[in-house]
Amino acid sequence: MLREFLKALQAPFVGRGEEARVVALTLLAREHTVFIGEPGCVSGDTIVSASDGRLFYIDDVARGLTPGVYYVDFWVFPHARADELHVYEVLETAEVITRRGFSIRVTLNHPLMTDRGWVKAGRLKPGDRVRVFTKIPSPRGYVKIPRDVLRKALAKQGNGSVDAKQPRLVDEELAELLGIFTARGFLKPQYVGFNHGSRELRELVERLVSGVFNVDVDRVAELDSRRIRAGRVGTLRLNSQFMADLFKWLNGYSSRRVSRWILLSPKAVSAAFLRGLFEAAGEVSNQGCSVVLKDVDPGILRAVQVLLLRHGVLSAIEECVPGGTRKSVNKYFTLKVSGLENLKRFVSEVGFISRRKREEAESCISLLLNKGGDPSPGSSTAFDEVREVRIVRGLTRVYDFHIPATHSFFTGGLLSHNTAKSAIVRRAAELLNARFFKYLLTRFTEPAELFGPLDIKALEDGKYVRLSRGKLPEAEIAFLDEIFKANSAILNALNSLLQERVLYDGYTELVVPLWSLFGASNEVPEEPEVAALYDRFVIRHFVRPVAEDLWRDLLNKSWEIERELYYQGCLGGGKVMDMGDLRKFHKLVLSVNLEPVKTKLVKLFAVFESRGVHVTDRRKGKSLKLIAANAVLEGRGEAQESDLIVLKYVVPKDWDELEKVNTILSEELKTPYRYLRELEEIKTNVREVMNYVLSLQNIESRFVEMRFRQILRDLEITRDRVVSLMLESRDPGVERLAGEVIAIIDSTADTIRRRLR
Amino acid sequence: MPGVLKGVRYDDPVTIYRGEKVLKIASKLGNESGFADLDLSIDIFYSLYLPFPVTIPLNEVPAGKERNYFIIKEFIDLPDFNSLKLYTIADSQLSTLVSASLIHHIGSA
Repeated sequence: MLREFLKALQAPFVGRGEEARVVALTLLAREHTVFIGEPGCVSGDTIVSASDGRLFYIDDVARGLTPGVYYVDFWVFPHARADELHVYEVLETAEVITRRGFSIRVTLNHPLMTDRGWVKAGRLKPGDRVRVFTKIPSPRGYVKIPRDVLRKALAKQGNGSVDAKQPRLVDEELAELLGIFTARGFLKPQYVGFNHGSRELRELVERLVSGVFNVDVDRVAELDSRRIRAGRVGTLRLNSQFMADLFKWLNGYSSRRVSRWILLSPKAVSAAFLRGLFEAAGEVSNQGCSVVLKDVDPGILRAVQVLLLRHGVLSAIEECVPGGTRKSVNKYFTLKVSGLENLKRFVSEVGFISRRKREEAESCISLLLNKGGDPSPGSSTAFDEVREVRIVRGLTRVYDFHIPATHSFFTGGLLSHNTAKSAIVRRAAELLNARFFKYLLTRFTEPAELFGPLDIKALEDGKYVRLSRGKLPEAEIAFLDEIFKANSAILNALNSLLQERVLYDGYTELVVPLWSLFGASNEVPEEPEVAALYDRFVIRHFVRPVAEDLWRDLLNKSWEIERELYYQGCLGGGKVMDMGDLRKFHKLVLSVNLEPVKTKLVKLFAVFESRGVHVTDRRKGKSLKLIAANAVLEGRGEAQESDLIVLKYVVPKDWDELEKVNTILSEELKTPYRYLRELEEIKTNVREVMNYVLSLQNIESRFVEMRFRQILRDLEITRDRVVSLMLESRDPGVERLAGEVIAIIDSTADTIRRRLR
Repeated sequence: MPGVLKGVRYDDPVTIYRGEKVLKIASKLGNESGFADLDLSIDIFYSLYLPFPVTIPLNEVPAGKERNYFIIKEFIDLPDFNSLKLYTIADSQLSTLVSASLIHHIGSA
């Protein structure tokens, strides 16, 4: 029955077998668990993508929010729903910059996808390969310019006879003009200026202004007493309050960012923006066969790099210091589009406005075609080498999306990770038909939100009673997200709730039916006032991201979960046991014979201590319950050495200790993991022997013969050892690998025997 | 690569743990001479543990680790060392104990 429960528990999830097991162990042991996830925090200037392709600077999404946790309903790319936005402030961040110039500033423990799985940013090294996107989706709808923006702008300039067209949408023509403005423009309260630099560009701006606003530039200036005139050489001033206000709205609050309205627009519009930008500040380098965009600030270039991904154009950003000087005043950045496929896509989907630049770009393509071209990335993702990891010290506001299903999202061209833990707990409660309570805690959460409001009528009668229906005091299984963010009133109440299952409330002591409480946090708490509560969670599970090879399955399952939750309100699956059965299993846990493991357990505690991992006496004692639960989950009434693996949930306090404890357990315990590791080492080494034997088998010499006899002896010893490992483990995976190793040993030994005959 | 054997993952936490354990036991046996560092203890362990330890070419040995290279090379060719391997091949516990004992004996010689 227990195995069926475990199977049903993990059925809707992918790559979450361990979390399901932790939930089952917690319930069997009638203990409490905290899930610690990696905090996926990125800085505010990071561009994230909605699932429909709209792009946002993340601090635009969180504008005006102080540090805390907020409910959101935001669909991110790759397709998943974010249900919370977490805002933190940290003292240290890491800026990861790749060879192609993709850049992200994140907390040191923020995981990024690499070719060896998820790696914390603080641990990335130059040369590591991180996952980058080569193509992202594009939104469909055009951005409407709100009527009040136009009304306000018109009101400011008076009710003069304005026959200029008032643009209603951010369309291609306006985007082209905005692109040029981003490269060459400046805003003053009364006018919009362009440093055009050439007659060609000035005429282009005039043509676009005329088209967007449907005015003859000189005529409108005269008619409306506003002057649109060419100022001093190289500067064009559009003396229009209306245009100035419109550009102020379009450009937003930061001149060093790409307009948010362009990020939200479909790719036809963003392509027009890029066309204007490249026309004004880009050039074609025939020497390097590339299109180059220069800027002194990498911020704009990074946004351009992301926008180009909508067209499948992969670009590279480089830092340039002219003349070898390190003075930052001379420093500038270039964004380069190179390679045949990238250039072809750039020319066909973005391109230039002027014929001269278009022809230059096309001649570059012809040149590359004559050279034979280059391969282009076929999938929507690729790897890029880390060029630099800079540690930035100073208070920084960082942001994190909580994504229950797929756990990862696009951040400035790279793939970031996020974890979620509540779904499995809810699933367990559903399967057991247990009363379930879930809540997200912030420092502003009131006790009444968890424990229920006070009964005013009872209070009038002098009684202190809470209306706790549907709240934590009535729950059998509870999940509290961001549990360590709670204020002291709630933390104190939770201490006794976890320890004694009693709620001390005013003048009453309420014994609660709570079986297990699950907490979740994105960080290990460091504050002393939270230490007591943290210690009360006997099980601490450090949740890792789902492996990349499971993503496809994960997406399918996530979609199933969404559908089931919508149509049925809960996840399906038959009820295999209930709380009554759970109580019976818990009694079994308490009757498990632990004698066979006690000596080993004491030794392990000594090893942990000698390695600087301190385990409190309370936790040492409580670990027995979990060991017994593991034995019951495995269908035994007696604990054995392999059950001690659950110490990895009890002993580590933080991520560093987790690594130490895992290392100790993997070496000190006879587990399938250890056998597999040993077999892999032997396999690699026996292959070396095989190569050595093959290289010498045709050489006639007494030395070779003597050497071969010695190798044969060692191979026979190795074979015996592999067989005994296989018999000891009784694990199918180990047996399979042992079989492979034996086959290589036999083949090598046969080669030697043939040679020795 | 800090060590001198082919195919050993020297930066793996378990490999480091094994080397540290060897050193720890050796120090309990009274190895105060500092004869072996962590890299050498890992190399001695794997020389005993692997059926066929192979050293890297001398020109690839990291600077300052040449002594470790010659020690391991010498060990591998010693008949007594090879007879010890009857017990230690693919057995991490015995490899640990024999490594610690070797370090202790050489260090106190």
